[in-house]
Amino acid sequence: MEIDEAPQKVDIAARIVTPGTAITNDSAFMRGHGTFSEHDTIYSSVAGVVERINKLVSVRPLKQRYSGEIGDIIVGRITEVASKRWRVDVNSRQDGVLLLSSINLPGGIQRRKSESDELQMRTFFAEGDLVFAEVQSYFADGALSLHTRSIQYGKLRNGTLVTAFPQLVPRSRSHFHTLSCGVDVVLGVNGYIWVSKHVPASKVEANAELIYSDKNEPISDDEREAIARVANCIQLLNRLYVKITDTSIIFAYEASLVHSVKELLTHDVAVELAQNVMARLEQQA
Amino acid sequence: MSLNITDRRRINGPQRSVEPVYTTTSPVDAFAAGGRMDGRALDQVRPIFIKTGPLDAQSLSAAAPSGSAYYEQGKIRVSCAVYGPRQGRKSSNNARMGTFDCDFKYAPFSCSWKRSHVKTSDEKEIALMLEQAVAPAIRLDAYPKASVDAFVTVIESDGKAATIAAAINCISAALADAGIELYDSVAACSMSLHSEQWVSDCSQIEENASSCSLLVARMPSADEVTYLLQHGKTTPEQTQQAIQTCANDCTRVYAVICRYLQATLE
Repeated sequence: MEIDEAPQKVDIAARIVTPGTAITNDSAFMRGHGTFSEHDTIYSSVAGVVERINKLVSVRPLKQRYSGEIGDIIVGRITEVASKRWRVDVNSRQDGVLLLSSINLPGGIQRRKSESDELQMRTFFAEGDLVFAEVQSYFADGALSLHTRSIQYGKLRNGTLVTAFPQLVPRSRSHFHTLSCGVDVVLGVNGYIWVSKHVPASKVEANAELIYSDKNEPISDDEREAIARVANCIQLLNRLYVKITDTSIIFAYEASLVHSVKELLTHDVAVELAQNVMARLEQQA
Repeated sequence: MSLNITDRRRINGPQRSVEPVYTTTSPVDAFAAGGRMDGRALDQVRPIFIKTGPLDAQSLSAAAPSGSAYYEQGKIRVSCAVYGPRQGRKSSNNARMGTFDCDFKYAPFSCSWKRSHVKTSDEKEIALMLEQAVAPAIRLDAYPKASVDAFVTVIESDGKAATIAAAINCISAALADAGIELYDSVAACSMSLHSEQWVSDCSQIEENASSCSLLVARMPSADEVTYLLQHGKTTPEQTQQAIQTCANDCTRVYAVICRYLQATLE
């Protein structure tokens, strides 16, 4: 590593900066995210913490919009039905695009797309619907192209949406979790999290019509309470800036059982639960 | 007899009417005692209070702003919510650059007289000024096709130029809170001319007594002026002197904003 041999006059990392602060005028460094350079000096463009990886200097802000990467699993909301495509709000700086050609049409995957499909696009996804999708590629202007070509992706129903900070949802092997309390959680890395009643995948596979169904299944009061409890647990983790993973949700859920659902978001209970979760996560690590 | 027939189609006044009680305030001379009414030095800015994120935690829905700030400067109270960068409107889409839009509103109770709840032309004008003052600081080239929107509400106002300056400072704090990429934070400061002397950050009473007001918005680290506004007549030397003093005040205000932002991150 060359950089370690060079004498480090001042450690530039871990400094807290505000927009416009000069970070370094050493031309050995490269500018990364959250910085810009002018007259050979690197300045910060956001308020945050300076991070240095070898020669790359970047500033990590506390809050960030989601910026997509190919392969990300996300939850989005349809904002517009356009010709051969849907526009999807993905909590990013631009709306994502879901092409008609990148969804599974009912009645066989190998079926050819016809004009009648174009005319009845709203029967698949209408404005306001939530979709569970994967980032397929970028467009030239940086907009995300999504796809739902798998049985696990598609329209979301039977539950509630929770919005969290995108940076709290790490990318992991699996983003679809079934908790032991009979609740399904879809962790979109864009910060949109879907909490819903558990529906076995075999049931959807058996009936292809269900993929684009708008109807909720009957949800009992106990299931509703479990969904609300999990949703509140995620909200309190988000509020206290704890990483949101299946483990942290399960820990929060288990710790929350002594409280009633509506108590969970009161400040004292939320802090107590979050500390409990963080302690258990540390213990596990 | 005819007095007993009431007109039901109209709202009738009470039977007996009394004259309203007026509070008689004689017009005060802001600089009567030789100094300022609140005992400040002539180039002293009122104490500043900032808080970022007051509107963020209100709801966890998509309607929550991406950043917000609350700003106080003496009696002035301003709040600002920033949304975005988000998908811009179709028509105004510029392929390479993002857009910055600003909305400015006086609350109906914010001034000593009642403000209209409908947006008036001077509010639109101020919104445009804020846009022009803050937009140069935003790295709009980093956000193609996206738009950043700021919504400013004046809760209490005290001096028009000072309120606009406060709004600019408030937007700066909210933009930083939203994590939007900036070249620098914009800090603004105003002053008024009173009998050949420049007075910083004037209240409404002081402003009424002055002949000219000047507003400077500046990016102190980059050392660039983003907006300059003067109302009234001065000599070029006077204006030059005022710009210099205002620029110094801006740097001080900027230091307050930066110190606050750093403190929130720790």
